[in-house]
Amino acid sequence: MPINALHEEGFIGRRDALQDLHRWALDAEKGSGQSIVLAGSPGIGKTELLKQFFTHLFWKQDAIAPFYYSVSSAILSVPLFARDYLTRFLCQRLAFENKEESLLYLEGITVRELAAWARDRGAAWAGELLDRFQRCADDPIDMLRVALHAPLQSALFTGKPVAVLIDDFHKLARLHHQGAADPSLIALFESALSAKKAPHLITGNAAELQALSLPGVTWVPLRPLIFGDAERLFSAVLQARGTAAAGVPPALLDLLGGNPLYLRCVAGAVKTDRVSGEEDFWSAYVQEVASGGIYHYYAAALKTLFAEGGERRQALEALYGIYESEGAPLEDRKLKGPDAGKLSPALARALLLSGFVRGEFGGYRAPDDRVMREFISRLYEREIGVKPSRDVRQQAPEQRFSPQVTGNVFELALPLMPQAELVVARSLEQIGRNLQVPEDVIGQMQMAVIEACINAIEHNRGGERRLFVTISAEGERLEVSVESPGRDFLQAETGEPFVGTALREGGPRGQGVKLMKRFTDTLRYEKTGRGTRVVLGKRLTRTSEPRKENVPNRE
Amino acid sequence: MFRTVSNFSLSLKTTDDVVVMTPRGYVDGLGAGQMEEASEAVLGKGAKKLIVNFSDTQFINSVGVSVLTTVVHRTQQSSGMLCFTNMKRVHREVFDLMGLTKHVKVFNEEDDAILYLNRTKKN
Repeated sequence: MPINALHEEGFIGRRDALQDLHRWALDAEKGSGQSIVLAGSPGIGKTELLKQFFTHLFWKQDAIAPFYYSVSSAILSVPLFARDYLTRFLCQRLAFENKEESLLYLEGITVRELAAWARDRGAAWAGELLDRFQRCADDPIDMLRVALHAPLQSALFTGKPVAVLIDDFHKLARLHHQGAADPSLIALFESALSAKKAPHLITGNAAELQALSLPGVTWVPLRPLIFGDAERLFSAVLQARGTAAAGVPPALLDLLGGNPLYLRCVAGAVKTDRVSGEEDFWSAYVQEVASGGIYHYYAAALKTLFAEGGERRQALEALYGIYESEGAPLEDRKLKGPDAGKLSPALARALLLSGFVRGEFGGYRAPDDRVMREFISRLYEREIGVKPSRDVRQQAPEQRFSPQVTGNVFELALPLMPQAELVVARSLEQIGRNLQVPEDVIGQMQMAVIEACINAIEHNRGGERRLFVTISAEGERLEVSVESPGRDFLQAETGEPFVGTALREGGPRGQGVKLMKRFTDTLRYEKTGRGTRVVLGKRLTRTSEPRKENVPNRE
Repeated sequence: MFRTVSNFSLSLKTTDDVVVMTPRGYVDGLGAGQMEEASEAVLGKGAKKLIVNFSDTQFINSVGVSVLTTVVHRTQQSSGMLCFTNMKRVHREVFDLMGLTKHVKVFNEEDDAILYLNRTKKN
């Protein structure tokens, strides 16, 4: 329940999100509230944000009553759920009136006890709701209806709107009635979700929530922490454990992708008695993925989804196949991935709902989360590759995570300063030559990369003042990614991030994207923990005319 | 605080009544700005025939190209003629894409441009 939220100081990097939610709740006061789904990857902090929001509403204002409910897998029979939902709501609603924190802690209170509490506090409306609930004790579906509408009813009775915050909402797809799960029961939430005086904020597994097809709700993404906040969170955890935070490798923070769960787990696993260098941080990461908190978090998720051992093994093999084929062209990924011949539709659906894979044009792809992928690899090695976990931990982290060179992948971190793009362009030239990339391809890619870099520098929005560039030439593909703290230059509507502002009066700008598109085969933008990443790709097998240095058309 | 070493230089020479500008290094907004100033100066002194020789230009960017458009416009306003020569293939593509080559004459070699300009009377 909400009372175990982090202390406010430990809740880093979410002030804006909290303010957004407060504004959302204020709409309920105006009678125009709208239910929303807060979506984000596992560990991104949805639950914590809900708890913080509850705490904020409970203690810092009086206009909107908060109600927090976390759906439990143990309470999914309709009458049990209805009773639990209603009693928790009434407890929190009554507690809010006089800021009675003790009421929030009540567990297992009976309807009769609660009715007495309501009477003592002069909350006749609550007594009436409880009476109504008692009267339909023979019909669990009616009980559920009364419970689900209790927040709205209280808003109508008291004139005080309610912000309903439901965590793990997706579990409600397994509500059961008379011994059988009945996914259609979720439809009973529809009218409650449309209540403008009691809007719902729900979270849970995004894929499963999508499958519920909730009508009239708006999806709001919860993004990873920006790099600077990720660093602050990591440092705060270390400092709380009495260790100076210096020396956290930026590449590790990058790998953790602004995910608060990962950041807390890894920072919590750093051996505080002997932090001597970067390898100690990497060791903590390896330990976390191989056998620590991150491992147990995902292992539990896999076990919940695939309870039977053989099924879990099959799922793991399928996941490993998909992850290993990542980076190959889509058509090859489909072949290497779990095609229909190997994977049952039920298992394929379960994998998609688990969030361990994403659907993509009839195939599958690995999620962008590199830690999740690392976990699957480690688990695969352990359970199917029969590699003892001890070996995983003993691998030298600096060998496995060297930020400099991995195969034909080169990584650069540059200060965000004028003409940093030249360093990238020159590096690209040298790397391209070493790897025998045709010169005309290098030249075109240099143009595109220069544009990507100058726009990243120009649109920097604070945070870490560095530019992260990855150059990879593998197989028949040259790919360069440019990542920077700029978060606002991606225009969702147009897909054109660099709608330029005039650098000089009369000087047309905004040509960067045009040039990038002209000189690459693929161009995509990604939101990352740091900000935004532009990925430029070029096939090396296409017909590339030999470079001719001075051959413009003759007049 | 680091200071960025300039990656750009510009040389000018005059052959008969033709002014040749040779930008070296990286033609970004700053570099192209120097070219703009230089062209303003020579046009202001009455020059009508300009060549930009890109043989030593290693990199360009869209900001630099956009500033070069002002050089083109100023030359046109002064009733001058502007030629681009010795462009790398990729730079030529950039100028094409940004519409600059519609307004200038393009030659492989500087000498070809000089021959063209000397043949053309413009007052």
